[in-house]
Amino acid sequence: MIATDGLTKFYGDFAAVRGLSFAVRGGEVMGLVGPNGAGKTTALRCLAGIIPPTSGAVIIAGHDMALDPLGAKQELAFFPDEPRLFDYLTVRQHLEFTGRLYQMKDTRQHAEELLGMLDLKDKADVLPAELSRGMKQKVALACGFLHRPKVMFFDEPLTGLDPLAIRRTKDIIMQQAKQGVAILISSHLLHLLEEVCSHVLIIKRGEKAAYGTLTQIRSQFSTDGTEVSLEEIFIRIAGEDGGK
Amino acid sequence: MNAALRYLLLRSLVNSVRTRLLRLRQPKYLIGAVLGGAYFYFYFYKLLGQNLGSPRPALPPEALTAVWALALFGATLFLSWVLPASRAALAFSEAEMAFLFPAPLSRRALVIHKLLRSQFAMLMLSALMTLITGRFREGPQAWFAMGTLWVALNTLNMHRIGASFALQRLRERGLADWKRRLAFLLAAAALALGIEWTRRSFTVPPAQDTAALLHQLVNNGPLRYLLAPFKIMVAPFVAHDLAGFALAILPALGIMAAHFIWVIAADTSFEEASIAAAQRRATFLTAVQSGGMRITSRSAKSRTPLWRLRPTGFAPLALMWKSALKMGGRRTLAWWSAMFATLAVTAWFVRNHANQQGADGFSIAAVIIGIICYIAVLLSLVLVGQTASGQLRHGMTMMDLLKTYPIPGWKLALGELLGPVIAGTLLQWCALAVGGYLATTLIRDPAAMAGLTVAFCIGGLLLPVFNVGMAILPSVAALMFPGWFKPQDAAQRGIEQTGLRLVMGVGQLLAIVLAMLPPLFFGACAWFASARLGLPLPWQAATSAMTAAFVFALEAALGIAWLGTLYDQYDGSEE
Repeated sequence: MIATDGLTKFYGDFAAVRGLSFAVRGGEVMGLVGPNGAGKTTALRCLAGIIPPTSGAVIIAGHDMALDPLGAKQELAFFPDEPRLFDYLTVRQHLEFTGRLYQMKDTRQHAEELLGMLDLKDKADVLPAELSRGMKQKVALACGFLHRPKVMFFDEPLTGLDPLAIRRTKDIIMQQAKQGVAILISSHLLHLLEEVCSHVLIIKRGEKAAYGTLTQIRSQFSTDGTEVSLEEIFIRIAGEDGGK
Repeated sequence: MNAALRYLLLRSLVNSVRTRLLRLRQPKYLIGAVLGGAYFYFYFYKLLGQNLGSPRPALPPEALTAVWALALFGATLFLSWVLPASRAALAFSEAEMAFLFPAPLSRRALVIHKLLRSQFAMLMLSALMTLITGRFREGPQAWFAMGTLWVALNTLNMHRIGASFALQRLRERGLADWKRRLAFLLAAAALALGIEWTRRSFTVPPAQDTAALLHQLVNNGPLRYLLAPFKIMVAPFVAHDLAGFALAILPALGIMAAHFIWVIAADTSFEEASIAAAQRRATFLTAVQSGGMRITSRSAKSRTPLWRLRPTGFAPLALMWKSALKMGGRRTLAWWSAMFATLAVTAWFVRNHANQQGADGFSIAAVIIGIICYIAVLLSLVLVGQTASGQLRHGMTMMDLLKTYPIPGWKLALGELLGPVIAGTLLQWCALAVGGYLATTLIRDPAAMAGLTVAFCIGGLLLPVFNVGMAILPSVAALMFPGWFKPQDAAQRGIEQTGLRLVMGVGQLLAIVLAMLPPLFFGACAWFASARLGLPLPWQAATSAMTAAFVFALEAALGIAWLGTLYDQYDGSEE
């Protein structure tokens, strides 16, 4: 579902992402981990077709992002770290607008289902100014799920949410994965990633530092046969030079 | 146009209008809307539209076309090809980027959306420009002017976008900005030479006949060809009837359409620069909404404090120390000191030479520099107070932290206000000193000179307390009526916000007038008392000024105490 080969992004002379290659199949959840400034957001933006990579290929559900960007984007959803909504569209209108963006024929029916699933029915006709951050996050999720994407990119999806909202978001992500969606999540909440991710990609200074299933990564970093946590692995990788 | 983007524009417009109308149920917005509407009507329509706009320029239509074409040419060249330094970016909101950039939309669709979204602002600007040029008094010709302006502004906007795409491609091919600017500078120099060569080649019209000279210049030599498309753009502006307008607008629309094709055909990556620009804009708006508005982005480098802060002492001094750091610390002090040293040396040089015979240029320079100084002082009478009050209101957004400090409210208020007030007063004194010094170029009579010196001293003495007074009033309003004057509203736009700012301004003016009555009364009493005692005039003035300043300072101290009480009692949750 998500495949990338040699993904590289330069800002001037600075390589934000360099030679990143990996694949996420349908039903898999990959955690993208790295210190601040490691290039996670840049990588996600390149993968979602928001910014063009300097070199390398990105394939989304069989569509090459460089050759068929619209086809690739039709199959993906990107969730930024902050839920950014239009000031003058109500919750329901956000869904109607998103439905039109993706040319959904059953927008109304599916939107109502999502509103119910995310407990947004009683807020359907209010503007974002009246919503809490958690509510806005739910609206962003509903908009992202509306066109039934095969690929989802989450950039720090759990930041700023209360424990209940974190649990609910996590459940939703797991539910989407069970339905066959390929998911890539960037987050610093490592214990939560351990709960939801099947695979992990650790990047440092834009380059791949470790990649594989959680079990593979754990065994790779285990020195005496004892199980090491993702946090321990992250600290070892990031701490080699202080995470700089 | 993409159906989803059309939905977004229309639905947002409808909801925006609906929300604005619905909130008029709140007295704050209703009063603001009424006053704002009245302001726009009387200021723009009555004052500018009927007085400032008349009489119409006496230039014949050809010369008028030439002037507009030249202005458009200059604006196009400068704004599109010389000024731009950053990468090609289109201004999108953060929500637009979150929804539209990952969506299956082509760049072309995004550019069209961007162009359509700017149409409301273009129409408003065209209407405003038509209004202030007094064309609305001329019946249907006003609509010709408005239509022409709309076409010209849109073409200029599209040219700017197209040029930014072209410059980005040039940059990607290794053309540095300074090389491009040098090339344009050389081209401008060549053009100037060409114009001068043309001017010498034809019969020179009488020097005072500017219109004739302009007419000859724009119809001959290089300008004839360079201005041709711009003359087409502005030709409908001077149309006399509908038929003439229709004939003239068609070629202009053709140029606009060509620009549209140029812009949408360019497949240049603008996403990265747009994201960066949107983040900068969001940071700026957040700063404005929290009351800490910055006109420009400042360096994130650490600053050297003006003095070493002792661990114990008068608490407001710590807040002043923080304010001084915020303003830039020693670096800013050094910069302003250098500025005023240069100004003082220039003033000294100009004044000395102005006294010599045949040095009219120096006399004029002295007058100009002096006037600039006085204007700066006049403007600062409002700005210093506003800046200081802005700092205090910015503090209100961090009330949760400030209220935990073991410091009484009056000390917090004093500390927050003093920094900007002292800095502003020092600048005012410097400007006043230079302006006063240069005034001696014109005034030779010793008595008048003495009077002027006394007046300047009185002004200088009253300035700091006046600044404190100007800072206290908006702060009191913000603390007493937090729902009406929220720091977060600073970035809001609209008629009702204009009206609310008007309420604040008028209230401030009335309050400062009232606050000045006691100092004036006691100052006058001191004047008459010292006259009865037989003191000479300068001493009379000094006694009077010092009394007035003392009363004003007393009022300021009471104001600070009041502000402190309000600060202590302030309950942000009541907003």
